Amino acid sequence: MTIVEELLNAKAGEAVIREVDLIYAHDGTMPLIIESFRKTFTRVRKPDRAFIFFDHVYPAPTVKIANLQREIREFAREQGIRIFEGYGISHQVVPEEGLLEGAKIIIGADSHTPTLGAFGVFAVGMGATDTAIALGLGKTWFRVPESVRVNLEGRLGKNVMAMDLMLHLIGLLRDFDMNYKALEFFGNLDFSIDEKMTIANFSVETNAKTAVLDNGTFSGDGNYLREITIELGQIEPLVALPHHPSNVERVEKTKRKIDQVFIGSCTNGRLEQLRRVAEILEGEQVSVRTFIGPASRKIYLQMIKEGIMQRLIDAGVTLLPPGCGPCLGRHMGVAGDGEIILSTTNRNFKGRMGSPNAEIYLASPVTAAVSAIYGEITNPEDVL
Amino acid sequence: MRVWKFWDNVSTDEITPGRYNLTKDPQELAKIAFIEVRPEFSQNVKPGDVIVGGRNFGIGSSRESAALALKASEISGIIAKSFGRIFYRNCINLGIPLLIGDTDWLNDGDEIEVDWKRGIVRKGDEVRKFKPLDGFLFEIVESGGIIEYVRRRGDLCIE
Repeated sequence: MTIVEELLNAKAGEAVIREVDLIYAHDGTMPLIIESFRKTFTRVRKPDRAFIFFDHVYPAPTVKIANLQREIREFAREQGIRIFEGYGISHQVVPEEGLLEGAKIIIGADSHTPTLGAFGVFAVGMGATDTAIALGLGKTWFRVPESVRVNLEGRLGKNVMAMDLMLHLIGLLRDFDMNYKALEFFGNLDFSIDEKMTIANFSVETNAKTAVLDNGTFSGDGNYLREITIELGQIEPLVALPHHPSNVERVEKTKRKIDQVFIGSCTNGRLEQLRRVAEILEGEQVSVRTFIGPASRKIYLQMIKEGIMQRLIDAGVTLLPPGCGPCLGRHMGVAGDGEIILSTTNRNFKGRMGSPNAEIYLASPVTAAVSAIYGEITNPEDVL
Repeated sequence: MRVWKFWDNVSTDEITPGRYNLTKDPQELAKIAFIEVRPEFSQNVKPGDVIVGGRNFGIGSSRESAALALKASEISGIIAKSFGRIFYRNCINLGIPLLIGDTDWLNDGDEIEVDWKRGIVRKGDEVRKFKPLDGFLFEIVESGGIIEYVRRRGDLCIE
């Protein structure tokens, strides 16, 4: 069986109904969930297995958003659901706070819920009404996806990160229809959990329904639609050009002046990534405005303890509170007309981070850090 | 029914951009549909019009506001080569019918007739077959969405 078939206990192609072990949503998706929920339900079936995170636009920048957040708090109080305010990004806080314990099937009202696949679970993103149904009934339906198997071999180079691996993979899959299918990773998975989460997170941009990394307990002997073997040692620093994450090019062929750098998000805002960034920026000065946002409060605190914050501030970085930051274009560093943004996030769609006339380039935290120093997209291999 | 033709990889960030997507009111959402990439859409769309996409229509963010904005625009349905999977489920859950197949022969401004249940699209003398929603998915759409479907049956059933 494939990993997904094992986790769902059904064959690819079947439609099944399954109990959901963990359901979560955030301030961005919760208002429409409440709207759908109230149309037919009164009580959340398993309130102790449902969680809400304020991460997308927090603290509230406008009265309108503040009022939507009030409605979410009222709903949570009435239903006995815990809200995590200010803790950071849902996908990071779920494992950090031990909420994954015993969960195998997870849905989140956020498209990057498959980030949790790094822990060997079946986690998928869903919309508001699907989430409302799951909250009300404690279950949902799934079509068991076919899987593509990715075998990783060797090791990444010194200045190459999981983000580069994923940019490489999305480039390979550019003309392959990954819709409604899963990605499963096997082989040399000798990455930190921080980087494993980057792998699962960015898999979403191939259009995959979910991604799962082998944790050594799966057979992986199923029928795979396709197998891809990647020699990690051959991957170079890569960048995604506007306006799609699969427009991949080698960094060295992408000289481009930039106006703003953002390092953080559910893709690359974890400790290992920010430690690398601090090593690079130590004793240097950024030459363009640079925002760094840790994915969670725990990471933020650890950065203070390790002296990372001091080094980043000395280098001229503006620190953002834990959360999604400017990734979705609502606050804290929105892109202006004609601006060139270099970001370690997962989406560079037109208008994603602000002006539709801005250009967004995606790269690893290492590439973003060296580029912040030089003010143009810079190959870390040339300067580190 | 008029065709509104879109390109490949239309993301939900283009349907309801994050910085406008600050409401749950369907009528307000209808006004921001494609506000940056096709600002004329919301003023000129007529009830019954059809949205036609290329590959991966509706990829990206799970925001249901994207499907809700199009529903509130009173389009009759969406035809594309493939759909972003969360958007696909969101549309079905809100009662928007979908067809999958080759859309290269459909152009912006074409007048077409669509049988959403059987997957038949007619443009002038030309008739082509598409993959319609099958089984319980079409029943959900016919019920007016999954909330009504579940309410009517008292539970979630997929047989």
